[in-house]
Amino acid sequence: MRLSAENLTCRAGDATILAGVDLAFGTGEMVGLIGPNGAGKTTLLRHLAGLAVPAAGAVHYDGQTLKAVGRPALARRLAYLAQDADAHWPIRVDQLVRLGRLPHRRPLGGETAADRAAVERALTATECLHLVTRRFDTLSGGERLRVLLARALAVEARMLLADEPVAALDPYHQLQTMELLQGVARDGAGVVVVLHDLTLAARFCDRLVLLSGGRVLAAGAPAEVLSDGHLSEAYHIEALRGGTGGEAHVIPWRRLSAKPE
Amino acid sequence: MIREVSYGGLIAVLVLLVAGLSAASVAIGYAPFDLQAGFADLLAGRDTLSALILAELRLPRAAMGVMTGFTLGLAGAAMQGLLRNPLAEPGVIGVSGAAAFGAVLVFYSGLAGAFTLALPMGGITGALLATILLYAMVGRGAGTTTLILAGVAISAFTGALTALALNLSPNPYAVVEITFWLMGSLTDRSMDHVLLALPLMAVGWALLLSSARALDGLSLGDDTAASLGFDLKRLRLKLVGGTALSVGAAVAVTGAIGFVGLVVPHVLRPFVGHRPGRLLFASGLGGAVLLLMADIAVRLIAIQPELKLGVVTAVVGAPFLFSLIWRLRREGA
Repeated sequence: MRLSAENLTCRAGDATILAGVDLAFGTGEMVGLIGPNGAGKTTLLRHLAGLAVPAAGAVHYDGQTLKAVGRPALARRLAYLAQDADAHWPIRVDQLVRLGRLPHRRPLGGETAADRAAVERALTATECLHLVTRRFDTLSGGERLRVLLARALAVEARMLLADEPVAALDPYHQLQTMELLQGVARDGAGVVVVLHDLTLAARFCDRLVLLSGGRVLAAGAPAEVLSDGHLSEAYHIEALRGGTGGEAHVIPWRRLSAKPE
Repeated sequence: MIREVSYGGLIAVLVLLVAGLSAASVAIGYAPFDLQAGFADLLAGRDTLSALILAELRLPRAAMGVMTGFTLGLAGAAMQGLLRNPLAEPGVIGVSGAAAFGAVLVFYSGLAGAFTLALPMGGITGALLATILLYAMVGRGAGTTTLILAGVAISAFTGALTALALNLSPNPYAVVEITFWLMGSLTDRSMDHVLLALPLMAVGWALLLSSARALDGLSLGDDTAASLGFDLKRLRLKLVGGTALSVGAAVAVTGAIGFVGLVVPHVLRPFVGHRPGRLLFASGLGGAVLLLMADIAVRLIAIQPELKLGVVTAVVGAPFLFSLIWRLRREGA
């Protein structure tokens, strides 16, 4: 599936959240969406998922609009993990992950063997199998995030959009989740993931898109996007750079002089 | 913590309870009554007093109890699912208040005496007007919170107009009559009432029950539900329409019966693993159970003037609401 945004513009009152964003995402690649707070990352992701109507411009799924594709059909092809995702009732973990199969259910039809297998795969991949009989409200913040990611994975969509899936995770599970998302892309799906951790973004993403002030400041290979110039312009920071075993790493190191607002 | 039970088992138990209590509701009345003779006469088409009591009083009363209880339990579960809040109830979108005011207006204008169904039809008209208003709100893109605020406004306005009607009533007897009617009752409801309410309720039930999956999806939030393929605007229209039709018809025929729609979904929720979709049908049956029990109690407690159904459900329901709040507070929710 090819997911594209053309001249995507979003306004909230007088503020312009997205100002003419042009981007395209394909399958088989993992793209990191980075940028400072308020750059428009979540807004962009919501528009890409068809959850918001743009003030101008459009989002296309294989060249078709949401209206042409239809929401139920899109739900089978595109999975979305929200930033502030939560469960409002204390549902059991396995039941919650099963909700990811709702787009595939036939009207009045029950759960199929394919549904059960997909749920099992999602729980295994996120290392949540031991949590299945727990109620969601008894889980820790990190466990909740992984269960919600399992819910999104259970859709087994061609495109996965995830908004900060690692922000609340411990280092072990950050690495595990990034490897997992990378694996999803290697298996042929497209992954667009919002990240704040530049080190993880640089290591695991095939491409990065750097947003700043509602515009795409840079897009391309991680090394190009995370240049000193871009980091200072978007984040007002300086990074420490190094390499281990042929892999470059970027560590945010120092704030530049006070950030002009 | 209550363990989740098998869904089929739960439904079976509730269905048996509804069937048993319906039978009890037919069997128990104010006066001793030869049930066997009544049924025999009714089936044989004999126009005896027993057959008449059965056909015109006992059966409609039990049927109306099941229908009203099912409506309140189901709509309560649907509203709690939509709002993702255990304190929501069927009246939260204002249709109960509007239906009550519609009926009061019929009382007040003296139309009530014109024909038997004038009163419930007034109530249904009130509920439909409120629904049109709510639909206009959703059409303008109102989210769930805005919808509820609109419901609160409708409730407040119709409540004030009801009070105004009582205030201006030239006749103290009318005031008593209206006040008693508002307390809710299944007494003296005829087969005509059942036939007037049933089609509206059936459409309402279908709209609510068919929203089960979307309500499950909604438990993960608006965005996630939409990403799972559910059209939230359509869902809101279905839930508002379904609640308005079924609850509007219930209030129009029986008056305001509180707390059933609040308490029943909350009691049954742990048994269905807190899943809002599965709660719908179970809660409907639970509502029927509670209402039949209350209506049987009203007839067994020989107090004059007779206890009103809405009074009994509220007297039982309010302490329960308190314990619910108490528990929520302790859980830090």
